[in-house]
Formats: sequence, structure tokens, C-alpha cells
Amino acid sequence: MAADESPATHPEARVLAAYLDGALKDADRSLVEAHLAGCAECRFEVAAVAQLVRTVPQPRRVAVGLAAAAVLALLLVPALDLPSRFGPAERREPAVTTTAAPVAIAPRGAVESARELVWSAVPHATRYRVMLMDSAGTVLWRWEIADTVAVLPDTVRLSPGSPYFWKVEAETGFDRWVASDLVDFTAGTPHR
Amino acid sequence: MALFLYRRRGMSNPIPAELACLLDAADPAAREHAWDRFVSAHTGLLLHTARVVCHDHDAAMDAYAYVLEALRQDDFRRLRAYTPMPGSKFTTWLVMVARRLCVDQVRRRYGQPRGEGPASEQVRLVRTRLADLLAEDVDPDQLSEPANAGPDAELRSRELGRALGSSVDELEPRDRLLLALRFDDGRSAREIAAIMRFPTPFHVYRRLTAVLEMLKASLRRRGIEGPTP
Repeated sequence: MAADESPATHPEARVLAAYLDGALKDADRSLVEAHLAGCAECRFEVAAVAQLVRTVPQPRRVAVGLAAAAVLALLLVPALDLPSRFGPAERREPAVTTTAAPVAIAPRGAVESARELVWSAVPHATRYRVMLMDSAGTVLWRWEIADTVAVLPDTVRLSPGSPYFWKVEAETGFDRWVASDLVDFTAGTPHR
Repeated sequence: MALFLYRRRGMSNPIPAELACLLDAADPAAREHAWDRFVSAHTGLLLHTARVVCHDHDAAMDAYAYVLEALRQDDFRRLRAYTPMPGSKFTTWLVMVARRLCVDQVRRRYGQPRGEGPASEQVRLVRTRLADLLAEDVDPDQLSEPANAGPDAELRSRELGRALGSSVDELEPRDRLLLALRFDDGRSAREIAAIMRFPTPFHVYRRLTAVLEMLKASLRRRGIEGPTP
């Protein structure tokens, strides 16, 4: 397809863009979906544009605004002389500086078997909470552990080829948890 | 398809201010000023598109320059072709046009890029739709060895393929697209959710399960109970 000029058989760029934006009426959307179902070229393009739109870096106006506010606060706070309100520094809780989230390492994607869940360690984390779900979002198993590996009990039976999701949360302070991304995997090869 | 042919017909969605200024600029100076404003508003998006398509930094910068040049060409012919549609964003359209231009430029300079295009997607993931479809009912011991495949098995396999094709054709376009994205293209549930606007990947899996059940029922009605030839 050359630039924005589509052959008569392919939808125009603006129609595909409107489809991705969810802006088409039912009848029009159905026409586009019928075309996409049979046209690998358009399907590839739509998927690529959806990915591009999802990953476009956002302008940093908010960050700049926050940075300016932070600088202003740093300049003003010493002048206000407020330490008595918060008490002496030695009595305060240590500052929470841990912001790293655990990363779900394995299993991810298609794996031969999945008998244990492995994730990355988070500095100063006291324990981890891991959760396994099926494709309907039903929680199959939940566990708390101090280690970064959790072995699935025999009571959890994974159907070969079925998708499962899991995530792990790390406790980094009192009632303070940071969670990994939700990752999916399928265990075993049901066919062939 | 008439839908793909219609043009501006009093659509109510406004054209973005920077584009309107550019297209309405009366003299060359105003046009240059408006162009600078347009580029400044969308440079991040255009650069991102060029980088994703080209991977290599120099090629990406070349593609970015090419996109700008192409958008300026013939008194902004491509930008003038933009017609707002209610609920649709200008930036989505711009990404689509910029991506096509980048792909054109890469093909012109380097030929068909490796790993780009639907064919490579299909190669990347070899999936047997029927096997996936009926997987749960299959005992691996009962699967026939390819070496044993004779003319009968081949004929049966063709029949299975035809039956599956007919069953798929009976589905709604949305369900056919769902199957194509999942099994032909090997897209993840997350990607499919973004493309087809499912609220979450869970909804994708739920719909897939339902569609596969419909297909199984349709195949049973055609006298096919399993994938074994």
C-alpha cells in the first residue's frame, strides 16, 4: 500500500484509524472487521499502529510542573522553620526509598511445565504475596513467602494449553505493597 | 465498499488547531510559521513512528525527514486529505500515514525489510487451528505420525480443512477477526484487546473460549468429532 492512498479493496487510513479509536458505528465496524479477518496486510498494519499509538512517549508537561513545584518547596520550606511539627529526626520512621517492583521471571509465555513461580527480589522487601489466576480471572492459588520462588502445590492442576495469569506483590513497608505486571503463560502442549 | 469511499460530508469533529492554522495559512510566512507549530506539536509522535519502523538510528532520522517532506509535498496534499470522523483522533490517523510513509521509504532504500510484514508473522508462529480447536479432546497416542500419512489421510485432512473453513465463515466478522488475530497472526491477548477494544485480556480469552465452543459444535454438526484424519 503506498502512503495514504489505499487501493479500492482496502479501507482508507482514516477508517482504520477510526476503527482503532472505537469511533465507527456498528455496521461500519462490522464491515471493517470482515475485511480485516480476511486481509493479513491490513491486520498487520492495524496491529502495528495500535502498538505505536500505545507506546507514543507522552509530553513531560506534568513532570516539568511537578519539578518546578518541588524546587519551589525546597526553597520555601527552610524559611518556614517547621521541624517542631514533625518531631526530632531520630524519632521518625526511615524514609521509604524502595520503589522497584518485583518482576515476574518464570513462567511466561508458552512453557513445557510450570511447577514453580520465580520472580526478582525487591530490596528491603519483608515478604512476597503471589497470586495465580485462570483466564476467567478466578484466583486459583494465593501464597505468601519470604523467598523469591514459590512451588505450586499438587492441588493446583494446570490444564495443558490453557492460559493462566500470575503476579507477585512485595511488601516494602507496613501495609505497603508494590506489584509486578500481570503475566500470562500456558503450560504443556495440548496438540500434536 | 461505500464506507471507504466517502469524503468530507459535514463531519462535526473539529480539525486540530495546528492543522487548521496550517491549511488556512494565507501567505508563505504564515504557512512556515504554522508548519513549525505543526511539527513541534507532532514531532514526538512522528519520531517515535520512524524509530519503531526503522530500528537503526540513522535510518530512523532519514525516515523522519522523509515523512516531513512527504507531508509538506504538493501544498500539504496528504494533510488536506484528512477528514475528521466523530470520536476518532487526528493523531491515530497521523501515526497510520506516517508509518506507511516510513515503510515506503525503507522499502525504497533497502528493499523489503526482514521480519516486517504479515508473511513473517505467519512464519514466526506455526499454529494448527484445528489442533488448537479440538486440543482438549486429543490423546497424543492417537495422533497419526506424518510418516504414516497416506492418500486417505490426506483426503481426510482436506475435508477437515474445508469443514473448518465453512464453520469459520459462518461466524460473525468480529469473531472471525478474533480467530485470525489469535491463530493466524499469533497475537497475544493483550495486543488483541488493544486492537479490538476489549476491556481486558481476560475478556479476549472468554470470547475465544466461547467462539471455539461454537466452532466445535458446528464441526460436530458436520460429523467431525476430532482432528484425527
